Amino acid sequence: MGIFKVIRNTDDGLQYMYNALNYVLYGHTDCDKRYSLNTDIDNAYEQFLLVKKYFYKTSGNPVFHFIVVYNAKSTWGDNIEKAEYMSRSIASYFSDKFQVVWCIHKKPCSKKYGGCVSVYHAHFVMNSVSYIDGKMFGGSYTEIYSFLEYIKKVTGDKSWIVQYGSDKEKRYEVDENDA
Amino acid sequence: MKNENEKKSVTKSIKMSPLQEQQIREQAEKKGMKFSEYMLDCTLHSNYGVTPYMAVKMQEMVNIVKDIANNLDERDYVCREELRQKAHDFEGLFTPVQPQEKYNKLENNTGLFVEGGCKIWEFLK
Repeated sequence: MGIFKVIRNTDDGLQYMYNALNYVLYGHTDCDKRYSLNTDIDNAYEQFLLVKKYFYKTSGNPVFHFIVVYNAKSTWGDNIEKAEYMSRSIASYFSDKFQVVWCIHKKPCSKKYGGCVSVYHAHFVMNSVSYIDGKMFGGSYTEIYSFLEYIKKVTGDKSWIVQYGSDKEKRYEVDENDA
Repeated sequence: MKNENEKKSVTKSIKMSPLQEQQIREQAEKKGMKFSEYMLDCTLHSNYGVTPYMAVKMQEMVNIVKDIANNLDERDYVCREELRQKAHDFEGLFTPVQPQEKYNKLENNTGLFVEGGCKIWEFLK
């Protein structure tokens, strides 16, 4: 069972975008475990912002930030390549309209009575403003669940827990007890 | 919450002939935009030579070339097939030459791509 966690923080505007990008690209991430689509990974904040400014949409929810915790079976045998492949496929879902950066963290989580629940999780941060037409990503339940269906196909894992949370305290780690 | 100065709260009326109205409406429809949305886009962005779409596509080319250059000598680099598929659009990239020749060629060109990638975003500033 995987965990799909949607992080919402609409109060802090661009500061939140800066913090989220900083966490994903630099915070606890090895250089070779961070990735991007439609943006330069080292200038993501500036390029996200340029798209927002072009369309006069610098306020409101700046990014769509979500975490995908892969079931240990999905990356069986500590398979980082599989985690990378699945993460890239997941990011591709939005890449025809949005800029996306993501990273992969290795954090083994165990069940209460032994056995591994998950090894890898991926953080994704997506610009909420489309580079095509400036439309904002709504993040409605319909959109989220369509996306979740896609994640199920990509991972081959049929059962997922969906969580919504804010990260006011900038704690993005998934609670191990949740798994 | 949207800032007040980003909300579309101002309404202006403008005068135009029926022919002008028809032409603008048709052009808006071609772009899949509403009338006022199209007029705003033309007015606000008329001085931009580059749109975000163009900048993003250029950036993706830059990213692909950098990826290929970084991974060409790896035996089992991830996304090899995907990169090949994407890179296929680059004319002449997969001509039958030795890997070392490809690498040398890409290494020479990567600098130009990176420079071009940075410059294209300058248009949006």
